[in-house]
Amino acid sequence: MRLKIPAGELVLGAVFAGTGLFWAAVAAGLPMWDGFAPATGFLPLTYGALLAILGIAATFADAAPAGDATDERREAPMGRPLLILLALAAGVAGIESAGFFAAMFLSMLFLFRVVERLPLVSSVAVSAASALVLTVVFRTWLGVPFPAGPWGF
Amino acid sequence: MSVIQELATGLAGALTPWNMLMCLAGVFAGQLVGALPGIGPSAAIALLLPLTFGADPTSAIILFAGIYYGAQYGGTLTSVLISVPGEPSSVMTSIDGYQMALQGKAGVALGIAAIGSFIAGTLSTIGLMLLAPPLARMALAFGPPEYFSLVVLGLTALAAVGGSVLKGLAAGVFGLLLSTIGIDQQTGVARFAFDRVWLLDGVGFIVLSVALFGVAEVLSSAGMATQRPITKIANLLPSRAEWKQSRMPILRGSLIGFVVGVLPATGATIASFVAYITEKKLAKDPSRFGKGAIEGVAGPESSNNAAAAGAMVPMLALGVPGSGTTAIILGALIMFGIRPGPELFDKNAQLVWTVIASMYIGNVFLLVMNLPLAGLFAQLLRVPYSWLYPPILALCVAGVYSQANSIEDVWMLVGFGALGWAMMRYEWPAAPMILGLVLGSIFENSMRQSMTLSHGSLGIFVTRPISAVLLACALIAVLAPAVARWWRARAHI
Repeated sequence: MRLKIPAGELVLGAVFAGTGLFWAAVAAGLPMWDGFAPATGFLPLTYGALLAILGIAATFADAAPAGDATDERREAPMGRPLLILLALAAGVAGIESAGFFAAMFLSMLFLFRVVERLPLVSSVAVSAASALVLTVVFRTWLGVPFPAGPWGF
Repeated sequence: MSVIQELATGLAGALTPWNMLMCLAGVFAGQLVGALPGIGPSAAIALLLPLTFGADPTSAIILFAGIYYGAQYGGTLTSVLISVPGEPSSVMTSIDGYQMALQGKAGVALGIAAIGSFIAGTLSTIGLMLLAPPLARMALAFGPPEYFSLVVLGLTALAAVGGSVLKGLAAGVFGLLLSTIGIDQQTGVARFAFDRVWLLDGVGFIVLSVALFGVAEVLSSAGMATQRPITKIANLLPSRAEWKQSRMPILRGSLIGFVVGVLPATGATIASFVAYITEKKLAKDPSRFGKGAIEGVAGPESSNNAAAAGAMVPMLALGVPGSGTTAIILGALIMFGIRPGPELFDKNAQLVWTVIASMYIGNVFLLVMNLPLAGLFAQLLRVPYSWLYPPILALCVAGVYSQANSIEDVWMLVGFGALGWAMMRYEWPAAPMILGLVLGSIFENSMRQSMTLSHGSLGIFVTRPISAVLLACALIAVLAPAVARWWRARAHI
C-alpha cells in the first residue's frame, strides 16, 4: 500500500528530527556525568536523540493511505497564512526603526487592505485605533518602553 | 481547618471587589473567546499573561480560571446557532443543538445549555473542593523520584490527549529540549545560548504560549474562517416538559464530566462525547438523537463544564494538567513563583481556596450573562474574522515585547508562530510543547536529586511504590491508544 504524506508534514517532521540531531550533536560536547548524577549535557543529548527518533516516527506512523479523505485544515491554501506571516515579520522588522505605533499600524493596514481587501477608510480607522489603544495600554499604563519612531512615538 | 472553613476563607477573598471584577472579566472574556472563532481560551490566557505581570497572583488565576470555564459556555453559542463549535468540547452539542435551532428552538437549546452548565459547574466545583485537598495531602509524601515520575505522567498524559500519541510525545520532548536553553540552574553552565546574551534566560513561557496558541491560531483560522447565517434566538427558558427531559441528563453529564475531567489524558472533549453516547444509549427512542433531542444538548453541555472543574483537580493537587488550557494556567502559576503540585494546598492555601470560591461566583455570573445576554453575544458572531485577527496579532507582538522589552523575543514569536501553524495544520499538538518547557527544569532537577539519592541507580524510580505507580500510569497513557486501535482493527477483521 502506497502511503500519502503531505510535503509540508515531511518538512515539519524533518524540522523536529533535524533539531533533535543538532541538539544531540551540541550536547555531545558538554559534560555528561558528575558524580552520581547527570551533568549539563546528559539530558539535552537524551532529548535530542529522542526528538530525532520521535520526529521521524510520528511523520511516518500517521501517514494515511494514498487516496484517503484528508482533513480540511491540511488542504487549506497556504498563500494567505504565508502573506499574514510576512506582514507580521515586516511589522516586527519595522518596530525598532519606525516605532511600535507606526510599525503595527502599517502592518494591520496591509492585512486589512491588501490581504482582506476591506474598505480603505475603515481599514485606516481600525488600524489606527487598534495601534493607538495598544500603545496607550502598554506604554502609558503598563510603562513598557516601546521603541519610538523618528517622529517621537 | 475543615473544608467549610477553608471555603469561607476563600469566599472572603473571592468576594473582594477587585477579585469579583477579575472573575467577571474572566468569565466575560471566556464567553467571548469561546463564541468567537479563531481564538480559544488557551490563546486568550496566553495573551493576557503579560498584562498580569506584577499583579496579585490570586486575582490573575481567578481571571484565567474564569476564561477557562467561561469558554465552555461561549462555545455552545456557535455550536447551536451556526453549527460551528467554538471549542472542540462543543462538537457533540452542535449535533442536536443546531437541529433544535433549525426547528426554531435555538433559545431553548441555549437556555438548557446555560442551566445545565451552571448546575454542572457548581456540582463539579463541590467535587473539586472535596477531592483535591485529600489528593494533595496524599501527594505531600512525594520526594524527587515521585516528582520526576509525575512530570513523566503529565507529559505522556497530555501527549495522549490528541489524535497521535507519537506527535504529542515529540512535541513534549521538543518543549523539554527548549527548556535546556540558557543557564543550567544547578551547575551555572550556559547551554545552547550560542554566544547570544538574550538566550541566556532561555525561551520565555509567554513567548512560546502566545506563539503556539495566538499567532498559530490566527494563521490557521485566517485561511478558513467563513461567515454563516445566524439563527434567531427567542424563549430561552425551557418548558416544564423540556426541563423534565433534561434534568437527569444534566445530573449524569455532571458526574461523567467531573470523573472524566479528573483523569489525566482526557478532558472536556472526551467527557462530552461520553455523555452524548450515554444519553443516546439510555434514551427510550435513540432515533431522536441527531434530529434535535434536548438530552443531546443537556448531557454534553453539562459534561464539558463539569470536566473543566474536574481538570483543575490534578492541576491544583498534583501539578498535572489534563488539557492545553490547564497547562497554560500551570505555567502562569510557575511564572508567579508558585510551585504547583502537592504543596500548593499547604503553602498557598489562600490562593487555592479563593480561586475555588471564585468558581462558584463565576458560574452565577455566567448563568446571569447567558440567559438575558445570549442574543447580544450572538450578535458578536456577525463580526467577520478578517476584522479581528490583525489587532490580535498586534496584541501578540505588544504582549511578548512587554515581557522583557526584547525585540529578539518578538522574533522568536514569529518563528514559533510559524512552527505552531505548521503543527496545527498537520495535527501536531502544541500543548505538550508548552508543558515540556514549563516542567523541564523540575524534571531535570528532580532527576538529578533522585540519582544522587540512589547513588546513580535508575532503580529508584521503580522501587518506590508511588513513583512506580505514576510511571505505570504514564506507560498506560502511551500504550492505551495503540491497544485501542489494535482492538478496533481486530474487531473489523
